[in-house]
This record gives sequence, C-alpha cells and structure tokens, in this order.
Amino acid sequence: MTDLDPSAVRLTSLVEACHARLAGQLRARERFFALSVGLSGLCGLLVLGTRYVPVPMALLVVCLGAWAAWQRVHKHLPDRYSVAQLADLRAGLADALSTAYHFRNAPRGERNGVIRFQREAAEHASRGASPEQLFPAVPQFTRRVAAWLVGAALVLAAVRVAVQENVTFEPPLPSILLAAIFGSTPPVAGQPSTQPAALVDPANDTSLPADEPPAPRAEPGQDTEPPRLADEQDHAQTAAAEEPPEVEGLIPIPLDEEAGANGAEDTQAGSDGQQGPSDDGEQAMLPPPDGEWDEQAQSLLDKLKQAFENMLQTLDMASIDSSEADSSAEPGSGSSDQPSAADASAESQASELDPAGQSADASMEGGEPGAEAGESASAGATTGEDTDGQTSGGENASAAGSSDGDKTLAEARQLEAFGALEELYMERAENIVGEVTIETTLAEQSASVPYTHTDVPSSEGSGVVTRDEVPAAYRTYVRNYFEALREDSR
Amino acid sequence: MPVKDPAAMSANEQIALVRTQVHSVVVGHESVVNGVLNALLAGGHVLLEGVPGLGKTTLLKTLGRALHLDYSRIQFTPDLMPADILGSLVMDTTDTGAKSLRFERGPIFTHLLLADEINRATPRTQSALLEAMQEKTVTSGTTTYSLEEPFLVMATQNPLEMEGTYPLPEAQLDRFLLKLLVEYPEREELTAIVERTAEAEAPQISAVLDRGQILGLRRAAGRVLVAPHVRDYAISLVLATQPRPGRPNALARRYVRYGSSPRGAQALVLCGRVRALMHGRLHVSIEDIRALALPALRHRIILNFDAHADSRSEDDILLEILDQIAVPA
Repeated sequence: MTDLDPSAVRLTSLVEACHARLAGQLRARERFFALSVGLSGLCGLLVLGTRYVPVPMALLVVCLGAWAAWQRVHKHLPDRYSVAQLADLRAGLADALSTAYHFRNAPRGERNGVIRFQREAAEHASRGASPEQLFPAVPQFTRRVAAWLVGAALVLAAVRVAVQENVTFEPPLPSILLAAIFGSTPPVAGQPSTQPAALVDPANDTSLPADEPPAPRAEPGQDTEPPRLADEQDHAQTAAAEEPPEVEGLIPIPLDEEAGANGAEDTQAGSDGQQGPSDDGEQAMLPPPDGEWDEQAQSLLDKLKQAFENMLQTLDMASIDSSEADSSAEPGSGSSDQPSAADASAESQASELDPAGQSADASMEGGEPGAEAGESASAGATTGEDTDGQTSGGENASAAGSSDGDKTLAEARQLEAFGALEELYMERAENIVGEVTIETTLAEQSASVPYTHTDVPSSEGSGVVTRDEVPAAYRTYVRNYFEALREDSR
Repeated sequence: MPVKDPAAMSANEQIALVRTQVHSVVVGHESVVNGVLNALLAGGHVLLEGVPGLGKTTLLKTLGRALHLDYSRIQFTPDLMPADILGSLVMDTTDTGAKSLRFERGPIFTHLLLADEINRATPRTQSALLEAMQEKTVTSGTTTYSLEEPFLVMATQNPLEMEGTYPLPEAQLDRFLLKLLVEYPEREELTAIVERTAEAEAPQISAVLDRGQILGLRRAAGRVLVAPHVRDYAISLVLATQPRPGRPNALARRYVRYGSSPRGAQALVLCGRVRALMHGRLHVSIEDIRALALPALRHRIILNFDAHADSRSEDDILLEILDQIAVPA
C-alpha cells in the first residue's frame, strides 16, 4: 500500500471551482430576488402614492428584501461535499467524486490503497468535466421578474409624470387618473389646485325644459350663501369659455382665482334669494346664474362618478367625496336643498381641497332647509339617502349604485329571517330542482309540487353464490381483519 | 474509462469469468445469477422463489462446478428431521468388537447447499437449518462443528401448492440476505434452452476460481468505500419501510405491518459493496443501493391485510418508496 497524496489538489480544486460557481449563481439569483422585492415596493409606492405607502415603509420593504436574500443565500448554499454529490449526479460519475472528496483526509490505514485508487479513478472520470459544464448558467426566474418590475416602475413613473403637472408622489395613481379623466387635479396637501372644475354650461343646456322651476331661493334672514354677482358670473363664464370643455356641457373654471371673491359675493346673493353653492375660498363648483342644469347629462355624470366610487371602495380606497359629503350633510338643516349634481361635484372638489370639509358645510348650511324637498332626487343619488322624499326603503335614485340588483334577494332574506318562509318558498318555487327541505314554523302549512309520472323498469335478477376459499397464506390476515372489525364494532 | 486498478479489475474479471461459465449452462436469469454471486461474496444466503422447472438446481450445480466448491442438495419434506440435515451420531463397531460413537456429518457440511422447497419441512427442521446458516456451526451433543467457508444456502420456495406447507416465519426469513424471484424465461431464452437440451453433449464447465480466490474476493469487497451520503440513503430506505408514527411514511403506515429490520440496511451496504466490485468500482454508489433494494428488502417487510386487499405486493411498496426517497443533493 502506498501513502496517499495528502493534498489531493486536483480533486479539491475541481470541487472548489464547482462550489464557487454554484455560490455565484445562487448569490446572483438572490440579488435579483432582493431587487425584485425592492422594485415591488417602488411600484406599490408609485401606484398608491406616499399617502398609503410612506417612504419609510417602502424603504422597509427594500431592507426586508435584502435581508431575506441574505438569509436565503446562507440557507441554500450547499457545502462542498454536497456540491461534489451534485457534480456526481450531473456528470454521471456514480458518486465517485463525492466519495473521493469525503475520504481525501482519511487517516492512513489498511484502506489507503483503495482510497488512492478510488481517488485516481474519480479524478480520471471527472477529467473532462468542468464547472461550466456541470453548473451551466441558466436563465433565472428572479432576473425576469426584476426586469418586468423595472419596466412596470418606469411605466408607472412615466404615467405620473405625464398626468401630473407638478409631479408628486403623494396621491394614489388611480385618483390621479380619475381626476385627469374628469378634468380636475387631485388634491395635494398644502398645494391649491389650479385645475378647472367641471361645470354645466347653462348656455349649452338645451335639455332643460322651459317650465323648469327656478333654482331654490334662500329664505330671507337665514344664513345662506349669497349668489354670484352678475359681473362675476360673466367673468367666470368668460374664464370658463377660454378653457376647452372636456365634456360636452361642462365648462371648467379656475377655482382658486375666484374662490376668495366668491365667498363674500355668494353671501350677498344668498340674501337676494339666489340659491347656489357656497365655498370658503377653495370652493370649486359654482352654479350658473340661471340655475338650470342639464339633468340628463348630469345624471349620467353622477352614475359614472358613482361607478368609479364603487370601484375605489372595492379597491379599499377612500372615495373621492362620499365621506366629505356625508359629513357636510347636517341633520335637520335641510341638506337636500342642493338640487344639482354639479353641486355634488363641487362638494367633491371642495372636500378634496379642504380636508376639514368646511366649504361643503358652508354650502349646505347656506340653503333653505326643507324648501326644495321634492327636487333633490338627482342630488340624492350621489349620497344615497340625503333626499327627504326618497329615503324610505333605502332605495337609490341612481341605477348604478352598489346595492342595485339585490333588492329582491335582500327582501327575501329579511322575510326568511322573520320566519315567513312560505313567501320565500313561493318566490323560489319555480326554480326548485331536486330534493328540497323546507323549514317552517309550528303553524300548519302546506306545500304542493307538480305531479311527475315516473316509470321505473324492473327485471328479475338471479345470482350464484360461490364459496370463495381463502388461500392458506392469507388466512391469518383474514382472521386478523375480522377480529379487528369485531373489536371496532364492540 | 476509469483507471484500471489491478486488484479491483482482477476481481471484476474474475466475477465476469464465473458469470460466463454459469451462463454457458443457464440461459437467462441474469439477475438471479448476479444475486447468487453477490450473496456468495457477501457471505450471506439467498432465498429463491419460483415455480418448478426454472433451473434453480442447475444454477447452483453449475456454480459449484465453476467455483470448484462442494455442492449438496436437500429436498425438504414434512418428515425430514434435523438429523437428516445436520448429521447424527452413529455407532461404530471395530474389528475387536469395541463400539464407539461417531458423528456422521449431514449434507449441510458443504459449500453450496440447495434447500429445495424449504417450506415443506416442519418448523423444527427449518430452525435447525437456519441456525446453522446464521451461526455457521453445527452442534451435536457436546461437540460443535464449524462449517467451512464459503457457505451458501440457496433455499427455494414454491409459491404454488401451499396446502400442507410451513411458511417460513418472519424472523427466519430475515436470515436470508437476498430474496430473488425466478421468472419465466423469455421466448429467445426458451428457444436457447430447448436447443441446448437437444444437443448431444452437455456444455463443459471448468473451474475458474477456487475457494481461496473466493475468500480473497470477499476481503476485497469488505474494503470497498461507502460514502456517508450513500450509507444515509440506505438507512432512509429502511426507515421508510417501517410503519412507525411520527415519520412521513404514509405508505408504510397504510400497507406495511412490519418493516425492515436493521439487517436490511446491513444487507444493502454489504451487497452494494459486492455490486460495486462487480462493476469495477471501489466505492458504493446510490445506484447500487437502489438496484439492491428489492432483493434485499422484499422479504423483510410484512404487508397487512389492506395491501393484500388492494393487491399490492412487496415490490410495489418498495418501488413507491424508492420513488419517494429522494436522491441526495
């Protein structure tokens, strides 16, 4: 027996090279994983804005991704013996390399000759194998994910830059897009909006009938919003006319330029009986002097707004103006005296401009309580239940509400809850298929079903009983089986 | 091509030479021939199961001639007594009329023993044989006689005609290193068998190895390297056959009544070393363990009634376990 070469340079160098290559691949994969996590946080920030994803939270996501990648590298990085096994498996060496690597430092003894021969055989067999062949570079999934996320982040950033005039990351991207669609800029904290608000152009309003009653007037002596003066209305209309209308029948009006002046002037107009929305300097919407609205177009606009609000609520995002409008509608103050949906739109804009909702309060308080109860169907559609004449039964005037379509089912469930099951049964009797179990009260009730004639064919059957012999080899198992059955039955 | 180790390749060539000699008489049954040679070089015994007429006796007789070893055959019957196997004391009378007791050695004192239809003998006779297989000694009265190495018992079981038989208990089945299934020959093999039968002269078998060389091969097999991950794989296989709670072996808990004993892991490693030597390697690979899992473990697991009811055999269970036990790395 000859002594072993204690260095085993060739074997060790091959295993070391394979280990280094595998570790490099693993580290690269985990780097892309960390990058993907960080990009996910960036995309979340770009979509939801810093309002919902603050910068510290995004940084925390990045740090968590880096930490997870570091943990995964240390968890999945195999030792050199395992790398040798993997190389054996990939090169078809039948565990020669790993066995030689394990016994490379074996103490001298009787098996020295065997170990030396085995190592030589392993090195000879692995002579043609290289780390690049054993561990080739494979396309990594995390790299593709990172590339996709980079593209998504760029697209989201481009959308924000394209939509916003003053690029900010505070508002969520859906609200920015909604505002862009409806011609208004999403509110920015501490920054007054310069985007025009949507108004109905009374000059283009041809759908309003001639006998449409005039806008409600405030009662003398009440704290109502003053209507606009004629010159200011003209100024507003002129300014609005300079802006191209984004929607047919809508005229955008700059808000912050007139907001301060309109506050006092609306008060004067209110004393004259002119009814109109008020604002406290940041009010966005102003009614035209004539007070006539295109109800049909406004109804469509309201439905669109309601649909988008429902979508945002489904996405668990705050609605644009529902909470502000609800908070501004004070009970008992005649909150239904704002007849037009444009007012609701104005409230929406105002509520976003003023987080405290003061402007909306001012507009609602400026109206005469209970004066125009019958004319508020359209306005009631935006809030759902603030109309005096339409609050019974919780029905919405709009057909695009969130509770549409399930009224019958809801009523049926209420009846079911009250024990009136026969009505539920009668409503559903036409659709009953298969077996039905009806739970009723103790009172005598009857149920009837249509007669169905059913023919069941029958035939004579016969069988032959044969005694099946249990093979001798299975008798023990059969006996044990039935004994176990008897024990279970006991 | 691996480096030619003189010792290892000599062993490989010697074993290949024996196989060639055996196959000059026995047609087919490659796995059976390899299994018997493996058990012989690993120092164990082998249990063959197959219908009559498949060449079991011919195989062992040819092997004895090729290895230049003694060969005996015992046909087990219900009235066979232990003394008929082990031997007995007989009284000798000298010319002067003096009488003395002399131990007349039974047929077990041989190198290769064919115990044909071992399940037809009574448990007492079976135990006598199996004790000799395990201890490799025979005790008669107060004298113990050692059996000469190599000592290989090739017992056969006939799966048919189970009436009036005494199936081997599980504890005694565990004494066999391998259990080999002798299958029917294929068409080509059957054609070769018929042609050889029609020949006027039987093929000549020459002794290619002697007893000393066989013992040398045994020592060489004992020095074959077993890496830790290969050993762990064999242990994992054995543990997977045991229906013990708390382990992820749902298949064993469902179908296995008793799992393999530690002898199963020993058999896997021992036979794996011989198989590696047969393939010209000085180390055991996982492929060796997987190839030997069925013959080394199929008689060490006892299936429950559910397995019989579902027509699941030991081989089915072991094949599923082999699929479930992942190869390391």
